[in-house]
Amino acid sequence: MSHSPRAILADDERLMREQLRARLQEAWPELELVGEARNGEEALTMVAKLRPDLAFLDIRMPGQTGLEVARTIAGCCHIVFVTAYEAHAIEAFERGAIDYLLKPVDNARLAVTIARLKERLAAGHNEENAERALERIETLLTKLSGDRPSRPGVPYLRWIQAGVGSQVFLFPVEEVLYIQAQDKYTVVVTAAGESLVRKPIREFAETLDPEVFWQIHRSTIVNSHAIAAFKRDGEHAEVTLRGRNAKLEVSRSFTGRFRQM
Amino acid sequence: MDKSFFKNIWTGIVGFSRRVADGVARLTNWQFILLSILGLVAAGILEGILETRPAVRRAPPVAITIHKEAPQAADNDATPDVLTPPQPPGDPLESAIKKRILKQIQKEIDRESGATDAASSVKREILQEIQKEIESESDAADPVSANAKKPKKSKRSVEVHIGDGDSKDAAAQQNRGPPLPLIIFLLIVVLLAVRITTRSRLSADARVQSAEASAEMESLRRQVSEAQLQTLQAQVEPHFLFNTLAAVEHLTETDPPRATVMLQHLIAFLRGSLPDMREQNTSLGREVDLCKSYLAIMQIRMEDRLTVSIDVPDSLRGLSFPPMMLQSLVENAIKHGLEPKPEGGAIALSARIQDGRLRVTVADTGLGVAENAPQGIGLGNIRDRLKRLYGNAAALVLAPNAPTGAHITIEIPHVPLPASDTGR
Repeated sequence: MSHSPRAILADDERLMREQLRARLQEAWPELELVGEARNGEEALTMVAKLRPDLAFLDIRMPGQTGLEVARTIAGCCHIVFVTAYEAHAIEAFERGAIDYLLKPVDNARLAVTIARLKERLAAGHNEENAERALERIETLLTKLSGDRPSRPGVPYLRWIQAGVGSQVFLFPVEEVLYIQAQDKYTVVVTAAGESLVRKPIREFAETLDPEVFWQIHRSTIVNSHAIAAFKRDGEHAEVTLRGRNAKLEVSRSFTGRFRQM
Repeated sequence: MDKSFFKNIWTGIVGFSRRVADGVARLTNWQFILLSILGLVAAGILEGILETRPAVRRAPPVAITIHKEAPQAADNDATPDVLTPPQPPGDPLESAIKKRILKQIQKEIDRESGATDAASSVKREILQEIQKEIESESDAADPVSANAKKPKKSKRSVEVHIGDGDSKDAAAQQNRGPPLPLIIFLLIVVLLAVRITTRSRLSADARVQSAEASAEMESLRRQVSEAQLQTLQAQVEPHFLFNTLAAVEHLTETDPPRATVMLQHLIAFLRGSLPDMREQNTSLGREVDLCKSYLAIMQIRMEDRLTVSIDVPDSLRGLSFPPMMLQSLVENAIKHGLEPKPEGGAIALSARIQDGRLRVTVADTGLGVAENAPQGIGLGNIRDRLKRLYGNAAALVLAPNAPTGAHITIEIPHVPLPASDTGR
């Protein structure tokens, strides 16, 4: 690892953030704490913006819980859960290889976690790790489903993970201009560039908010906010996007939405 | 029928011997030794007595001694008119005696004829012989059948001792068995053996019983402590406890005076939350104080995300109020209403007397009840408890708070606590 490791921590209580920060600074001086989040949403934004190597997440947080955040960011960075008491989760932690810390944080236990994290950072990111991490988090979430109420209705997808080279990035769906199927992969295009996601476009069609993301073709979903114009030329229809040269074909079965415009 | 009869006898014997065994086993060593000595001494004394009067102990069923001196007279008991010749003065009496003896012998024969063993048959033969002997003598003396006959013998003596089918006197004396003290001694030895075996069985039984009893006690105790633990867990949520302790720990390093304040609130809260089975009712003041401690802790932790206001007139503090209900509502409001809300909010606790009823309200500006089910479950429990305590006289009213959150009111009859309990 060339640069010193960077981390964010998330907890809704300032005292807890302060304590964890103090302990981490003492036990791991080279660690760079780049952000402190007060809830799940902030944690996600920070992971997307700051691209840390590590995230210390409290489990019970307002907005999204630490576990829900972890599901979204799994693979983007290494995750350590921090909890006061989660009977079911602790059992799951102990079985899986996910790190966790109990509040109040014990110095000796923290040293073990740090040693483990250093090892993993040296091993580097790879997609396989990401998938395994995601699996473990799914297990944790199922474990905890008895602990807390499930949210009424599944919320729309708000964050997208995409691999660029060997790195995995996280970005909010608002940044997505359009999504296009390409063989087995799906290309996610943002203002910053293109990235490949190993997820069929059908899944995006099901999980993205249909009010914002319009399917215009069997293999294309577009962010309606990014559409500049709709053009029809006989049988052929297409949309152009703001600030981009790309033209996206609209198939006949999907032209209905544009007629209402 | 016979089988059941023997069975009864057998069970009787078994029961008796078991009782004897138990009795022997229950004696202390000294009691047993004393009993043994007494038994031996008694046997010795008894043996001494018996030696002087053996006949008493081995009394034969029939003992006949007949001494003949005069010719027999006819039986004048049965046929007194037949007696014609003048009889010697003792004759009628003698004949009566003889008759009786014969009767007795006959009876004896009849009795023995039922038995089949050798002894009985010997006895029977002897008896028959005697009978014949006596009869022949009677015949000789009978004036009707043998008038001319003179008695052959002027004197005749028959001595018979019959006992246990053994007609020989000497043999009877010899076969009396071992001396009584020896029997008693053997009995004592047997009883000692019985005592030892029974004792070990009884002590094993006792151990098993005591083990069972202690196991039962243990499980009972565990049940009680589990119930108490459940109550405690229901009241002091581990998540709350550990988060608070973590905060206290941090404050001891960064802000010790604040750490002390927080710890004092925690102590007050834990003391108030510990299950107190004796009290069915407590005062409103005490319950409000418990909530104050809890909210003070939560305010230190949540900081500006939590605003607390409490409006409970002092005059209402002495009123009777069920324990752990108000706190349950406050905890629900924090846990499900305000803590999960990123920006937090306010909680207000108030009490009023309205239409002769005590109304205590917890209002928050949190996420509201509709969005989180568990609060509803907690409310169900409180509703059940109110119903049990007050029947239809109590109510739990849930309404949405404006603009957001929940507004929950407990209504109970206005009952002052007895003067002694209003101290707090």
